[in-house]
Amino acid sequence: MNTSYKKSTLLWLITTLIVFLVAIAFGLTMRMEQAEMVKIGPLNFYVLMTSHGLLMAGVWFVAGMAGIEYILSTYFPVPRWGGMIAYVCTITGVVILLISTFLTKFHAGWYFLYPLPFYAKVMESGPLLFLVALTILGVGWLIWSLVLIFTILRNFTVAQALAWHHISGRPGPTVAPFILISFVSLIGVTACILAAVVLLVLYYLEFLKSGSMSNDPLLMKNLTFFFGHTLVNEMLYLGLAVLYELFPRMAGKPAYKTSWYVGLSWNATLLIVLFAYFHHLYMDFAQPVAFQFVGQIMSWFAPLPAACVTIFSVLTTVYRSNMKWSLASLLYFFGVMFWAIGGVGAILDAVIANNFVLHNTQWVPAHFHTYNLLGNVFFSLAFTSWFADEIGNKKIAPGLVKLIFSLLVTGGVGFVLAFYLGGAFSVPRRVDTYNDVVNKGVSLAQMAVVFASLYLVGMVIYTFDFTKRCARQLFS
Amino acid sequence: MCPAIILLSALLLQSPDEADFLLTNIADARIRTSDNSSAQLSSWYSRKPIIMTLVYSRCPGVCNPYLLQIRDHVLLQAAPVERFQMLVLSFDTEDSPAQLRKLAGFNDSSPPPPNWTFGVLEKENSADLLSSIGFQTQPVNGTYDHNTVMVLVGQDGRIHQWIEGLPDNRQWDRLFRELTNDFVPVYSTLNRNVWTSCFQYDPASGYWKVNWGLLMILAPSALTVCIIMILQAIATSGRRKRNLLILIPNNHEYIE
Repeated sequence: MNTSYKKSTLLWLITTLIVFLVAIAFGLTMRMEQAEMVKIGPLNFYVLMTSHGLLMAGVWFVAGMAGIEYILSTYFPVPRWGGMIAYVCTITGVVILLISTFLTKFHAGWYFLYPLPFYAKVMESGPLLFLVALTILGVGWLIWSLVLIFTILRNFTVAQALAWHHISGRPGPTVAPFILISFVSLIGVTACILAAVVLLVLYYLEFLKSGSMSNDPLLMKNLTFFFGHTLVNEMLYLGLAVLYELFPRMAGKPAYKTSWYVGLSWNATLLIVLFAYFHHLYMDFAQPVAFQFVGQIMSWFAPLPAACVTIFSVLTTVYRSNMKWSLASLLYFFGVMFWAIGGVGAILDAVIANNFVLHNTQWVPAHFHTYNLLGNVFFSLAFTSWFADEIGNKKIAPGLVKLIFSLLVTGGVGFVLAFYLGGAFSVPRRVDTYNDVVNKGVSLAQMAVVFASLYLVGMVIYTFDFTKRCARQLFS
Repeated sequence: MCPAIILLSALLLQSPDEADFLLTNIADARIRTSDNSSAQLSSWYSRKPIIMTLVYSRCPGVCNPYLLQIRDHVLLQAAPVERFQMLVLSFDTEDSPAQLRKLAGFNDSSPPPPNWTFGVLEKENSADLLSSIGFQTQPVNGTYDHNTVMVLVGQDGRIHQWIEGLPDNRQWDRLFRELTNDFVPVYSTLNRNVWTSCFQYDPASGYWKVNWGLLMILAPSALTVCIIMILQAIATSGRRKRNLLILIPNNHEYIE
């Protein structure tokens, strides 16, 4: 393994961990405002909400991509310039994003639903800076994604990379599940970033024509969730691709093989995930009813191939294995389980009848925090832990494993539980204070603050330990 | 030359569209409501939304039947009088509120409902009001050629509905929904000017028609497929070259 791959991956992971701590602090402050423990006011609350959401989505996307690039480089040489451009674009984009939110007080929320960006501003430059930040991030990530796709295509045809010969039983080269899942996910990532490109072009047109052109809100919402929902799903799959590669090794079992059902399930995932986002538009009366049915059916089918095959694989791997439970394997195992729990919460919300009740309640942040904070983040932290063990000077202390894991699980579970209970009590989401009708929201927010603090402490210890063990490698 | 003139006249004579007026501000003109009292238009709409129309009492044409039909429809619909004010204005300075009242078919034995007001536009800023609501008028032999316009003005002074000619049932329905803050499912005028709309919807028939915007939803997926195919083609040609290199290891000059 070329040390430059290790260094670039290390740089991504350290950056990711630092930005994650900052984003947790933003989220914690928001919950403290809801808990009436601090007073920051609605404007700052929405500024934090915008920054928190975008940083979280972005940071765990790039962590997933860094994992893919690193493991892919163990198969084939990967051009490093793709990752380098993405890194520069990510840092630049994040800086401009934070300027747009904190200095110009842009506060349209993380998915900046049209036409909010034109209203949720204090300074005129806010929306433009925000759009520029997204453009820079999108360009960097698109280039990175295409470079990784091209690396796979230099060694396999599209049909081979999608494991069609494994599905049909025809002869062909062996395609590892990692390659298949990475390829499927990168195609999805490319599609959703291109959706963002179309979206941003329409925003720029309206912004620059200052009132003489208006967009169709239905189109803008479709594009927004094509981008946002698909990106969040694909970044989970990026983490899973790495899991398929590393988890059997951790259990001391042979590497996973791409059987026909693994191939079929991930091919199905490629298509299904592109249509599942329709469930974000249940409340949009103008969306044709057929699309709503497609959204509901695809939402039901979306978890079946990927989740069922993965859960089955992970359970059979652990069963009667000689698994030495490290922090990485613990995070992978529990990450898959929490992903499943969050997925059930998501499916419940994606049922049209339920959505009418749950749509604007805290059930929504409950489910996506479950599969992100306790699922996707755990996948990436598992890779980070494995990576630290690979390149670090020494292994993590066993006591620290127990401490970090307990803090992350206890803090994470308590934190999302407060959201689930909020959903059950119809506490609205996206508000900075609660009135008397939903005053349970205040005590639940207090509960969330306690547990989120535990999670934050766990992450601070984790980041400190990781940096202590690995940072020297950056300059070696 | 001739077709150009015809085209130009067609463009110039094109009737205005509701989308040109929706949510625009109405000019705050002065209205005379009797011989010795007048008030700004804002003094009405700042209290309640107003339904406003313009006529003139000497009109030999449409004004009388138009106003009577509007009166009948508003009264028959039993619209909640406390929710809005009905304002019938004349753009002819020679008119009086009493004449307008008579034109609308009211008299002492059948007076107008309490939320009805009749008034005459003061000359100095009547042009601003007329242009702000797209009312077109031209003097012809002592009378006027004009179109008929009815607007719903919200308490913010903005036009919430603009109807040219007699409203059809759908427009009346929407107007009363607006007044009672009921949900208005479709603004039929919106899609006409937004080329990026995904669907065209005709609320009368309930018929959907696919529009350009839908293509833009499909564009990212289609573009991705194209990009993958292009990358595949480039990679395949690169792979062929590499294979050639392996087959002819000593012929690097030829390969290059």
